[in-house]
Amino acid sequence: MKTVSSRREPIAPGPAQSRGPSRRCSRRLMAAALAVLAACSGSGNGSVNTGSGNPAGILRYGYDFASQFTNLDPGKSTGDCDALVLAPIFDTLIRKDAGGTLLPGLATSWLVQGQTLTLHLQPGVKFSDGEVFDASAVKLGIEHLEKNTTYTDLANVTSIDVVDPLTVRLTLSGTPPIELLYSMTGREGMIVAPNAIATASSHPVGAGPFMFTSFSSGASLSERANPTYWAKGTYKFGGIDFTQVGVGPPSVTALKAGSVDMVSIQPESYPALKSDPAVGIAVQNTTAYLQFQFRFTPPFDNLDVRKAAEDAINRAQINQVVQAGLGEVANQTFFKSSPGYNPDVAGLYSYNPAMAHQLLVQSGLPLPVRIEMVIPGGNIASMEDQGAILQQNLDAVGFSVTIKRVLGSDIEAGYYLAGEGNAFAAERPGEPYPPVQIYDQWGSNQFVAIWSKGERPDITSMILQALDAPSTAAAYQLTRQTEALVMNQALDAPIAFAPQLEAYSTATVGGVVKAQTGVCDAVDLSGLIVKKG
Amino acid sequence: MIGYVARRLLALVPLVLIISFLVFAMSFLIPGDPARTLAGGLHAQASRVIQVRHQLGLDKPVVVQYWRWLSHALGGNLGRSLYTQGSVANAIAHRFPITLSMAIGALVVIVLLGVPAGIAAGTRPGGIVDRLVTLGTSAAIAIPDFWLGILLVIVFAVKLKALPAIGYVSFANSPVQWATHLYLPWLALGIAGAAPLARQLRGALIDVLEQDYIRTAGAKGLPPRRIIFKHALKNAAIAPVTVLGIQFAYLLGGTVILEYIFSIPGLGLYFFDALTSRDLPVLQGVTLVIALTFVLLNLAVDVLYAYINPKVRLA
Repeated sequence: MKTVSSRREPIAPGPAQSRGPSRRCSRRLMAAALAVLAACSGSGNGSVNTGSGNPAGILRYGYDFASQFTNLDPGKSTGDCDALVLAPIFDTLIRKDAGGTLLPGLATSWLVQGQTLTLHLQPGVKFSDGEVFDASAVKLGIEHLEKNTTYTDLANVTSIDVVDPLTVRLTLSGTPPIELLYSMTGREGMIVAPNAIATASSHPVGAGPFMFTSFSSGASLSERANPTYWAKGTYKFGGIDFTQVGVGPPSVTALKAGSVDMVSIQPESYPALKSDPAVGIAVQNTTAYLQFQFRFTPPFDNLDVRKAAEDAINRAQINQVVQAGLGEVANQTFFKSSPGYNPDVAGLYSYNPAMAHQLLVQSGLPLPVRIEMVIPGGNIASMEDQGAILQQNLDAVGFSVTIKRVLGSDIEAGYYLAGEGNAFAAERPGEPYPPVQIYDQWGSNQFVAIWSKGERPDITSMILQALDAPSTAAAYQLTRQTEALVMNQALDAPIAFAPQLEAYSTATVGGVVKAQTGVCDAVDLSGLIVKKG
Repeated sequence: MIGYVARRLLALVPLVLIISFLVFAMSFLIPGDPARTLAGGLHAQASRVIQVRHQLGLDKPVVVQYWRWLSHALGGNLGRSLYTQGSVANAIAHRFPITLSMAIGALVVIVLLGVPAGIAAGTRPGGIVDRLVTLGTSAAIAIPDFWLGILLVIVFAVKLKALPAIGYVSFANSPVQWATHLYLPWLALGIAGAAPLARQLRGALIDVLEQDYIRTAGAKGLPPRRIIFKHALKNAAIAPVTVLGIQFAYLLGGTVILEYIFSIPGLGLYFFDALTSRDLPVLQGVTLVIALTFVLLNLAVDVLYAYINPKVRLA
């Protein structure tokens, strides 16, 4: 259902979504090999840092152009993580907070009626080239975005009508508009100025807080404050210089050497930085989670076997080892503050080897129950650690686990299409809208559901009701009910939610520093100050 | 000599054609489906995947695809990246000089370190200098260049803050900044590369210095320095020149990890990312360019042989 995922998402290849040929995953291959060598000490964390800001200060932000960037034009972009550098230029029609709640962006409000989505636009907005941001511009912008084949939610738009200068109505076929609304918090909500559509790949023009100034392929992108930005004063610094920094050890060394002011880091880098007084770290929970994903063929077509696996997994240990204890240990598909979280099923499974063994005996299968567990290959330290602990946990209760490594770029072809292995242990990229978080894995005609033999008519029916629900409250209620079904049937074994970490120099960056809310979400820089010139 | 070079160049034509076909064909062995990725990944509708595959021409027979690619490549058009939509030829033209900068600088370090060390060790075999060189080259061979790169970053960028940890500045923008950003990669690549050169030169010099004509030169009263640099070194150079040729080719194609560590947007990183994302036009274009570079480097080495040893031309 949800689509956006394309090739350049930066975390380990997740089971539930196309990470495409996940590039950051491949970098993690190198990063893992180098990680131990890059440990140069560090400290203190926190997301609030005092000091006075310089309104003209330039933030040097580390970003992996090589693996994350595809195009300056959202109409041609094929990588989710382009959003990090494009959001400051274009802003988005809709925004969302860390919990997945939709917020006004360039659209002040929206109305979903059946298959139509009406957007009411922010008045008085201009693109950075002086053009007026109105319904006609949005219509042209969306038509431009529709040409992008990777935007499958926009592909469902059948017509775009200008109702009045500040109102646009979209009519969709197929999926309900709610998914499109969530997509509009990213690249599918970035409107290119009409006069710049032809040249946006080399000189993008949007209505965001910053405007494009220069780009050096694979190396850097400079953006400076947009003097025509409609929400003046929201950003308290003068610009951003995105600088090429590879994921993993290079990001740590670049920060410590003062080559960048701020950079996203992996949890494995946290121990090396947490005690460094010159470095601050902001941590954000996300909907992505470490996961033991079943293939619903023998032996995991047996409920007792699945429940045994649930009880065998020491989630706290995995969270500690793989994520430095920074993630929230998962007892279901949603973290505690998510509207999809169902407290009724929170205590269903806990680390209980004796119970797990008993369930396995009860399953009637001869012990040991042999399974082949696929993990992302390429010596990714976090995935290797998780795989090893899972193997140990499961072997201890009566399974016999062999680990099969499949490179991130081959998981789609290997694990799903070719059907290698009985289970997949990786990090699942989360979905911001709770019903979709469930639908992706067990809904009818969903890639993962089809290829892991997990399609469930009951879940499909409930989630489709949720997606068509008259209110979000009703949608969430149905989602919680469905989540109870998921966990009672032990359809998923979530382990721990994956945090996003943003490391910054306390000497040059202050104010309220936030981390990304998702692996490819733009960082909210609105509370941040830059202390230098 | 001109005839020799012309013959070698002619012989390259079928070789390059074979390479181009292999490059094209091998890229199809990479698992996965770029059409599916571009159509929205795991969630793509089948009809959309078919549509994208058709747009990319991936539904045509391989031979047709190869012919189209080759005819475009001969005109300098290597296609467009499936993901960035950018011209592959332009990207290579942008990135090749960066990797070349790394390779040439590293080659200079290799020569500056390897040649004196090889001469010093080869002219006094068994002496303290020879032992030190042997020890040093053993260590340099054992230490991976990426490890050395990280070490250099920690010392010179993180601790001393004397040199930048990451990035690249083009020579045209600032020659000083260009060099400043490349010192550490040059050293990391060069130190590891100097060791085999020093060892080859040492061994070759020891052999040559035992030849009769060297003894004769000594008996004639020529000073040792003149014997070594005028007579011995030229004849001892064949093997080290081979090593240098291989080193240079390696440097052009094998700098990916150091490009990653130093965040240098070179050809290696471009290729590596294309490989992991199944960006076929990029893979085909970069592989072809690197293969051609290897072929031309081999030719250059052969020509150098012919210059050093005229008997090679006759053969």
